[in-house]
This record gives sequence, structure tokens and C-alpha cells, in this order.
Amino acid sequence: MTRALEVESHDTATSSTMASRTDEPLDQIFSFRELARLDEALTLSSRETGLRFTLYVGDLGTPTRARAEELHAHSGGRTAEAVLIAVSPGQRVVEVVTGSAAARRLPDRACALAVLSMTTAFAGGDLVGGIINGLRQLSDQAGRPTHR
Amino acid sequence: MCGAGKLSAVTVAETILVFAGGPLAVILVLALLTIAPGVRNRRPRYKPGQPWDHAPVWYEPHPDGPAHGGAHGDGHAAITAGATPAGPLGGARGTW
Repeated sequence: MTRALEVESHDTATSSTMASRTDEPLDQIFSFRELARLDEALTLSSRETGLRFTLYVGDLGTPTRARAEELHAHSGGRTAEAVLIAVSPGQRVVEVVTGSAAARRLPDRACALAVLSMTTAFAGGDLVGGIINGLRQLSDQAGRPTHR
Repeated sequence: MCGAGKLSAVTVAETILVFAGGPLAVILVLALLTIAPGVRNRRPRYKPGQPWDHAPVWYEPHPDGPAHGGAHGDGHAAITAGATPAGPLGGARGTW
């Protein structure tokens, strides 16, 4: 016999604690399904390649490359193995920044190819699909880590 | 020859009901089935050329292993941590 799930709130947040995570405002940019796809793509490609893929969606300043490199330097962990995909839909620019170790496995040509497929999808208004396709191309190109 | 019963003339109202009302009802049902799902989850979709006035977000992968819960607030920690130079950088740029 099926019963309705108990939906009683166990929220213990007070004024001196942070708000419960379920109280955070809904993300207006992407739906939950799109967020789940992005999360899966980022995590799987990072896990497969041993590189660290991060995704930035937002405005990049006027020299977009400089801002993207600055973000890449702040991306935490071993930045040499970090790959930043920075998408600025307002400026219609996407930047891919690879650290020095990641650049050996992801040559600039491969990045340019992934960027091309991303911009094609973006021009059609498909942000999430483009990002996921680009991530897939980048991780396919990088392959598996040789040493482990 | 009409042996079974009496035939009666069809009125104008009945004609309109059958030949206009019926198809109209079918069309309305089909239109409702077509339009309703799109109206329900209407979301501001990105179109090229629109201004982007959302706050910037930075997504990062989950850390390795089955550890949970650490990935949510790491954006701030990563930003406040010092910048680490990563040697010569590579990459690509694209516009659309």
C-alpha cells in the first residue's frame, strides 16, 4: 500500500545560523534538470581525465581573456591541471583556459574545436547543450591519465 | 421505402451542431494538448543578443570519492584562497 511521503519540515535554521539549503532561492538561470546535467558532465569529465574542469557563467570584463585567466588562477587546487570554461552570454564570448599541465593534453587546437561546437549551440540559444557537448569533446580529447 | 420508422427533417441547429460543433470540439482538445505542456514550464530562455543580468556563477566538479556536502560552498573558499600561477596558459576563445 502506498502512502504519501511525510513532508514535515525539519528546518532548524535560526537567525544566527545560515538559512537551510532548501530555503535558498531557486536558480533562475537553469532548471534543476539542466543543473543536474551540468553537474554530471563536470564531475564525470573531471573524474575520467584527472583534470579539473570548472565552468563559469557570467559577465567577463572588457579584456575577457585577462579576466578568464584571473579566474583560472583562483580556481583552487592545482591550477596547472585546471581547465576553466568561461561563458559570458551577455558579451557572446566563451573562453577556455587550460593550465600548463592540462595544455599538454589539451592542445589549443582541440580547445578551439570544442569552442566551435559550443558557439554553434550557443548561437541557437542552447546554453546547456553547448556546454555539455564542449565538455564531452574536451574530455574525449584529453583521454585518461597515463600515470595513476 | 421506410418501413421501420418515421424519418423527421433535420433542423438547422442540429446541422450546425454536428458539422461545426463537432470538428471544433476536436480541434480545441488537440490544441489544448499541444499548448498546455509548454505553458506550464515557461522559463526565460536564453536568446542570443539578450542582455545577461544574472549574477555570475561558478560550477565545479564534485571532489573525488563518495564524500558529499563539501562542494556547495567551495566557490567562496576557492576565491579567497590565494592565486596560484599555473605557468604558460593555453586555451581558445570563441564568439557567437
